[in-house]
Amino acid sequence: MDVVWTLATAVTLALACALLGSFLALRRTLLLGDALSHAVLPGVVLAFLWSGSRELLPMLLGAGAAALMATLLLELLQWRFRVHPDAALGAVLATFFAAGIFLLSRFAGQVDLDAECVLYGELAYVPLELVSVMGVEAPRGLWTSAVLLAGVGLFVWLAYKELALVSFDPTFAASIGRSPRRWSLALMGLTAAVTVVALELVGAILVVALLVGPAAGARLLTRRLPQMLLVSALLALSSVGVGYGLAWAFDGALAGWIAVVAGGHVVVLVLLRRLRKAPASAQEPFAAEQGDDHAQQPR
Amino acid sequence: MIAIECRDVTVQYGHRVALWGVTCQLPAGRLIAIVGPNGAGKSTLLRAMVGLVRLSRGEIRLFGQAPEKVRRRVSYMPQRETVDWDFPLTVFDVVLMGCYGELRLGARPRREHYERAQRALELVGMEHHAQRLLSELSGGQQQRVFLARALAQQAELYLMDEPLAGVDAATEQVVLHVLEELRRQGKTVVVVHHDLSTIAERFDWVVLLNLRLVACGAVPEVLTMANLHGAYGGRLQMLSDVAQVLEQRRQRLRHG
Ligand SMILES: Nc1ncnc2c1ncn2[C@@H]1O[C@H](COP(=O)(O)OP(=O)(O)O)[C@@H](O)[C@H]1O
Ligand SMILES: [Mg+2]
Repeated sequence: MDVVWTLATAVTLALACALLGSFLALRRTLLLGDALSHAVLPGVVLAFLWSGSRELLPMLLGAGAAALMATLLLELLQWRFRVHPDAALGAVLATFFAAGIFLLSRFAGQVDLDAECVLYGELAYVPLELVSVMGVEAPRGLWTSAVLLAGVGLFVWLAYKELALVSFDPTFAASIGRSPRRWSLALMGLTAAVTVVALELVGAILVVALLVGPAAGARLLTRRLPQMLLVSALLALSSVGVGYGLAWAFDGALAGWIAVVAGGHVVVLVLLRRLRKAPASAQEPFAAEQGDDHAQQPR
Repeated sequence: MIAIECRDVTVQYGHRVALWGVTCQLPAGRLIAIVGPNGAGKSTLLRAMVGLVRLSRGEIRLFGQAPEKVRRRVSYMPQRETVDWDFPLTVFDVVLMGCYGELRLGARPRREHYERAQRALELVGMEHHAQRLLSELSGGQQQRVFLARALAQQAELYLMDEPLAGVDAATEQVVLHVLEELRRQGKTVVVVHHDLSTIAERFDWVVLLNLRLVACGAVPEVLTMANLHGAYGGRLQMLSDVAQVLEQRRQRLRHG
């Protein structure tokens, strides 16, 4: 039964991450999850210093507050000071993480805190903590990821048009009254929430791998946005499935194997594309014709 | 009837002034050109008209109302650079976005919207490319796709930023044809455009801009040597070309 709980949690989380990650990939902010998972550190340390305990709730609140601040700072850098997204991500990640390290060393005496174990969860422990909701008993991790998936799913369902619009052509979006800034903030805020909660459940590596891998793979495989969302979900499922198979065959941490497969997909796809592209482009040098053409293509 | 009214419109980017005290009234149902040298504030004026930049002074009214109030009656076609060309959308998806303004959160396009997008594609001669990606098209074809998206908006006022910049001859014909078609339907069309001879030949009204308003009025009155000197300084070769086109047009009018 434990295995089923673990896999169900991993799958739910992977789907939520794949959906979110797809939109992050389109906005070229795929590393947002990575940045946020580092940026929570100062929040965790301060929460520990303030509460003096390792209770989960203060830790989560501290992490959440730090992630929120990082998100707002990113927003400010990008929209107010027109810093390029990847530069902004790098700057925020480095500053926040450094601040966390500084706090840790400065208060080393008082902090009996290995941030890794306090906030950074482990997939294998998920089945250990059962919670019953409305008479149904399941791991807390599964309930939490189900809520995340529902939230992300609802957001993407409702805001699909707006997300596509503001990512594709922000100026036009603004001209029809859809604020690119507001929608970008909504997407980042949701990513921050998912990252913090998932960090605590399954650890940083797996969260980042699930946000990046399936989305990046789907981006390579598809030509249209709806297909991309579908394929990213399939890649998320296969990451968990294949990862489980590998963990069973070779032993080792399930989370690690899932992360390896999620990332491995992308590497394999890139290589395959290279292989396929080389001969194809030699055959049809002018696939996208230039100049103009009233002479339309026969289809 | 007045479609657009600008009163003392002033826009600054930081400390840099892009438009200074522009006051003018643009009539409805006309084909209107905005002309001026690079950096004159032409794009800024269009952006101000859709409420995309904040005015530091003055006021703009579209159909007597604030720009934010009449978004659904206005279609804005930005200059080409703002788009993510690698985005995974087909030509048809892009044109369909012209209908998004009237769809609420969570709503999906319906049959009528698909038909509208299809008609718009046909108007610009791109119906055979509906399922291709933007990145697979030539510059002129891409421009026609954005023109189709603007048409799908079914607005009353069209604001187009350099739709004819850097396009091939066939696309130029398509765009000019669409502009005239829109005028025929009684729409107001404002176009940033550089080619003074096309303006002299085809447009009704012209706004000459160079940070300040140089002149605004019917084409034959505004495109005079004195005004063009005011806007451009002395690039005389171009100016005498314009004078020639205008003279031809006057004669055509005189002889019926
Ligand atoms: N987003 C911006 N930030 C700062 N300056 C800008 C911005 N957009 C335009 N400008 C400046 O404002 C002036 C007018 O620009 P613009 O309206 O694009 O001119 P035009 O379209 O007539 O070439 C230019 O000097 C330009 O450099
Ligand atoms: Mg311009």
